[in-house]
Amino acid sequence: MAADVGKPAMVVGIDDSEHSFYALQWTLRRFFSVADSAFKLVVVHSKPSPASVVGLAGPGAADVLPFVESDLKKIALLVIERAKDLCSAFRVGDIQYELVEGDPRNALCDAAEKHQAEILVVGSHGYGAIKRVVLGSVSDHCAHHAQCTVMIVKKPKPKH
Amino acid sequence: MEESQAPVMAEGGGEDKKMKVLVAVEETEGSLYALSWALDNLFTSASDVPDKTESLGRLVLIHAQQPLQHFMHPVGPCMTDPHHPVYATSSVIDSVRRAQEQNSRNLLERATQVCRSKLVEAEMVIVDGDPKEMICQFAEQMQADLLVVGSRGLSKIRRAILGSVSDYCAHHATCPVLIVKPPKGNHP
Repeated sequence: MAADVGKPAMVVGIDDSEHSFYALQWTLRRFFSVADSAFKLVVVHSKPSPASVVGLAGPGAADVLPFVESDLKKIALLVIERAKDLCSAFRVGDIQYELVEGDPRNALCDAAEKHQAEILVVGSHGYGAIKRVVLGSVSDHCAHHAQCTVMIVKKPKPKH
Repeated sequence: MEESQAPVMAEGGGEDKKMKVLVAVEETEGSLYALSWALDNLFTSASDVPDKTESLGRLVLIHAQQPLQHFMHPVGPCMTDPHHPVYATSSVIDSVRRAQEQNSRNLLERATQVCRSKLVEAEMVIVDGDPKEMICQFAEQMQADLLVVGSRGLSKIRRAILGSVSDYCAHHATCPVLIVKPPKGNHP
């Protein structure tokens, strides 16, 4: 494999949604389908903190946290596993997988900075029954605040 | 030759690398930088061929002209109420339109020069209408694989701000959108 030293980094943010795996796959196809890619790939998943998911309220909330935490950990590991499977189908050189904790909005921007990424890739959640494609809050935040180029990969809606 | 469960052929000289890329060219600094960035990072190839475009897809530059308004507000002292619009004569409209077209051509000419200097041939398109809508529509029409926009509008506020065209495209384009931020050295 060609040395990945000196190659600019492409950071791809993923969560457990279909949209972000679509984004990862799209990126692999477009940028990593030849043996010598121009970029080195860093896949980042940010595991939200249990407190942010539960929304602490009322007595007994603290008791729930350890269970939520272990669930989140399991999900996070599955996400990374799935990403590894997807990447193995493509001939990518060294891929770095990173598991971080915290609000994905900041975590992804921070990861991009840390790796001095040339591009930060995110999926977009096209939720909503509205006809127009809408942007999820993480992708929107990254588009505004990331210091580097941001690529928002949208999962196309089924035409029929 | 490769794993049968791979959704896409990993072999085959990177057929999937070919992309139809649409780059929005506006009169902002960020825009030409975005083009140059896209050329450097998307159209790379191992060898220096005279025309990189062939192996790497298609590059289309789009510039949207705002439709002219057929009335103008007088800026100087005026015999009539200064807040009432004055209808411009057709010769004035024509000359403004010609100036606008010349402006667009110059802009696209500069953009094409940038492309040529990086050994990429680009196609140019000029459309009339609201830039953000026209760009998204055209991206859909040409089935672009990627839409590239600069990030800043005409104001030079800190780099975290997203210009209105790029923000609109990020939300409404149906294809992937690449937002190029200005280089880190440029702090106002």
